[in-house]
Amino acid sequence: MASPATTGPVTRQPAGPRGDVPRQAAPRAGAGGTGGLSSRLTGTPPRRLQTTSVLLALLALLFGVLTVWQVSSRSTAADNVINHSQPLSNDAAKIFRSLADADTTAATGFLQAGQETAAVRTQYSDDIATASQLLTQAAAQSGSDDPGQQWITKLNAQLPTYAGLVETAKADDRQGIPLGGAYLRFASAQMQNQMLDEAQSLYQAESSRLDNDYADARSLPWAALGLGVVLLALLVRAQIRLFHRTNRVFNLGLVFATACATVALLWLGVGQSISASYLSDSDSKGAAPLQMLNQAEIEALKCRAAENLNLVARGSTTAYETAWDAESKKLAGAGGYLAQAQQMTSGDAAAQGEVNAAVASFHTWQSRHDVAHTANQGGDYGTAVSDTIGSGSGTIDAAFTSLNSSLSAAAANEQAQFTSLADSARSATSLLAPGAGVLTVLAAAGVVVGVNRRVAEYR
Amino acid sequence: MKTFGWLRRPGVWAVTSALLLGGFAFAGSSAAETNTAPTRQAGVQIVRAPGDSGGCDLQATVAPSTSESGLDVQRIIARGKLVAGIDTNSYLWGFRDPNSGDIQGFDIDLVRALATAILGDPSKVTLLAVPTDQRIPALQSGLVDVVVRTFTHNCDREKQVSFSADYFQTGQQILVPKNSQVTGLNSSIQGRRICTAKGSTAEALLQTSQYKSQEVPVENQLDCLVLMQLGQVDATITDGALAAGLNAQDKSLKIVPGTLDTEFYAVAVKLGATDLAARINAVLQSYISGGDWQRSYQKWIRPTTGQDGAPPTAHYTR
Repeated sequence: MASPATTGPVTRQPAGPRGDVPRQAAPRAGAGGTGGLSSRLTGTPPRRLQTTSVLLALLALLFGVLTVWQVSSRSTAADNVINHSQPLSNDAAKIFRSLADADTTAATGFLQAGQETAAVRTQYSDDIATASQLLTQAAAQSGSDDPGQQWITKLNAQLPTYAGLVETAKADDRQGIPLGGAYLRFASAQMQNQMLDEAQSLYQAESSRLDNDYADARSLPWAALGLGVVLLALLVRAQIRLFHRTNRVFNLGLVFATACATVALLWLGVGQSISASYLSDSDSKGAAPLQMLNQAEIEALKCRAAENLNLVARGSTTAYETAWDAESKKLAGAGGYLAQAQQMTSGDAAAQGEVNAAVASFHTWQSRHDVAHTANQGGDYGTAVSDTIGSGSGTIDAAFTSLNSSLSAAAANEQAQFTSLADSARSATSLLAPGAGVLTVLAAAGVVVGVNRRVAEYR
Repeated sequence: MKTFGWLRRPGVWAVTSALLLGGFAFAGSSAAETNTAPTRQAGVQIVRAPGDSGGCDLQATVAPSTSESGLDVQRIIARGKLVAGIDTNSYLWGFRDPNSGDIQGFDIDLVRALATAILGDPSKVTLLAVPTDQRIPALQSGLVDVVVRTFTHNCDREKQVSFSADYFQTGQQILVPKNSQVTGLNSSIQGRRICTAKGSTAEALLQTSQYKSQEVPVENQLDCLVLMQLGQVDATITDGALAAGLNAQDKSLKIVPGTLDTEFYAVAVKLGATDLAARINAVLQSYISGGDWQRSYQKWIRPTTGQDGAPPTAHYTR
């Protein structure tokens, strides 16, 4: 993307001064009969002037080239954030979420046994379809050297195996044999211990790419800014010298060049700073809370899976109750995902409201979980199952669903924030590269024209 | 499941020992040999399960009594419910029918008989699913009155809980796919991947065996069946009763003939609750003599093993 913009001025523009001026200067140097490159360039005042003008024009063009290159590499990075790495990171979170949801839903369907509802069956197959489709999409969007590619390949291979194990579990369960439960626990162990870890790695790979793109897009173009300052200083110095030598206050060409360079430099500095600040906001007020909300949603699914699997295990192990304790602490404990999301959305009343609602839903969930757990401990398995997977406003499922929808609403809000702030960042520098290119060419032309007029006065 | 008559015959223990030592296929168990008198041969050696320190008579138990004046029996009567620790994942023994939600099996029949005898109603029972490693803590904490959960009676456990009379005899067996070349715990199993439940007798037995190769420990013996179906293990070692339950869920498997040791299942109660153990022994006595034991056996175990069975004999201590 950056290459056509940078090569244009480099190959075309310098050809003029470099081709014209020395060619004019050279025959005169030869006519003067004095040898040596330095004396040829600086031997007489007009030559010195000409040399200075050429150097200043070259410097102006270099400033232009550097600006165009640095600005467009930053806007490429910003484009990557908006069109590539943020969607990929979000897709990776969606893959993660649909896998975790598939596992949770499979356990719910299993607990419903012969009475598995159409809604649960549809949700499960949608989860598998979504994960599969997003994996294919992610594989297509990321190159073969992409760090996420290895996880995508693994997940693609394991997904059908997982789905097969779940179907075997259900078939065994319909036969009325306990083996079905063991199959489901085996399938879930594959999911929890292998596939979700891989999905997490994929998500981390995509997120770190997002962070890199952010850093690239946000960094200020120090080289261009520095060169711009040097150019301005040299232009002013050249005018002061010319004033001392000729006693003319203004050289129109040089004044024009100085004005162009000043505008280009200010535009560059201000435009990039505004863009960086918008980008920074799009991260802290959009992408970062969104990532946290994604984590919270996934953690909530893990809690729900542990709760369901505890019932699937039918008292054969205490591992799932332990898992519930650990996962729910990660979700809602001190410094957990919900607490962090609350902190990150503190500047956004709408999102904060949703996160607070999610926290309230979790507390409801936790207390209903305790009631169901007590029933199960007391041998009332039927009540524990209907409290856990049954539908109705007073069930765990209702609390979990409302927690989920609060988190989704907050996430949608953060996604919209991200998009609008990132778009503002992009538009802050949208005309900067071509504008700076034109301004610096004009500055170079101004230098050459202005100084040549003075040189002409020597003839 | 082999019949138990042959176990009471002189010389059979030599065969069993030979099985342990040489591990050749034991093919001669005859279903017809169930006619032996209940008197047990003196001096018969039990092949102890590994991991048990031994030193006790596994068939010894308090004399049966129908008295209900003891504290532990009174507690159950006052509550009006018998709280039993059971398994809901052991096919044929204690399992939940996923479609009806009913918990049933050989162990559950016995629990119902206990409730009928003590409380006059088979439904006055709270069935609590307890994980394998929670069986003893559940009794110690008073969470359950009895544990009827394929619970092996051994000498180490006698220090932690009290046992009723034994109600079933079994022994460790090897479960393999039908086309397997494994003939026992011998050179034919060497190099194979063997699945056992963590902390089980089978695991201990494998540890001491010179033929142990690639062990695959799992949480629950049922997980072994999953792994075997997925081709991740070649053989499973578990006790014969549970092996029968696994075999019943997958007819493409077979149980290698011959047991690797001798074990008894008994009802466990809190340590020192001898009044309850005596009451349970009285129930067991009539459960066996009234033919209920045999009916339950015919219903759950016989269809899978194709072999007749008889309850082990009790040695009453007073």
